[in-house]
Amino acid sequence: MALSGREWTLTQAARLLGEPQHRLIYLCEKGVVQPDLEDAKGRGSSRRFSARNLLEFAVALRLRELELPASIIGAVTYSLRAFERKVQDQIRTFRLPDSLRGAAAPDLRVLISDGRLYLSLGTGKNVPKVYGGIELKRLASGKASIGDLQRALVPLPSPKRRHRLIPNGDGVTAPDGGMHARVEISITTIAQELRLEG
Amino acid sequence: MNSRAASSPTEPDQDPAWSPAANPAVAALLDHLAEELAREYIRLMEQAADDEMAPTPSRQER
Repeated sequence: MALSGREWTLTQAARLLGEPQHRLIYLCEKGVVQPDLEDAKGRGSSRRFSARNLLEFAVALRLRELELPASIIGAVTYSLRAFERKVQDQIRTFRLPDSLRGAAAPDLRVLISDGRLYLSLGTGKNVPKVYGGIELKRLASGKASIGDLQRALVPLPSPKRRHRLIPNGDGVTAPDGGMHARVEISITTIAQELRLEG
Repeated sequence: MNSRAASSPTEPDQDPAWSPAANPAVAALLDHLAEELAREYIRLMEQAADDEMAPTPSRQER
């Protein structure tokens, strides 16, 4: 996959994201982020990251704040990479995160509701279409069913909001103390907030 | 950021890693999901281009 030509070392990526390096290393070791340019293999080698990797880190760190396991966050970053590849089949200039940074970019979101993972895409004009509905338990265990596949292929109505969203769109905790009655983050917003220049 | 963002080196790591090779069925499922998202993205981009090309009232007057 072609890269945009920019690259960051681990130190630079950590500084840009405002995170300690060990958190980024952890995400790499868990397979959540795969360095696009060079992976650490043996002594003396170093990880170098693309702009897409920085977006993956930023999304992963946001999801880690919500205490999601690496296996689920890895599934999200895997989906983002697959999405980029498939758009590039039609639009060769499409690049993450750059193509989501424009003012008119569609809003790509990750939603977790009632123990299921969804991705949605929409613009200000259209009601977002929601895809997925994959059970998190199955994602974490690595088992997918035919029902999951069928759900993934059909746009769904937006999951019912059982609880009020926090204004920043990050998520909520259920009144009973359970996690993630509904969690929603905008990948487009994260892409737009990345400080890639300078 | 909470303290769970990275496990302690002294505690066993309870957080399973992500590996599409280890989870081919899940990877296939996520590929399908990405395919549908990509189609929708392209449709939205085409729609935006069409809207931009459509004559506005001021253009029509000219």
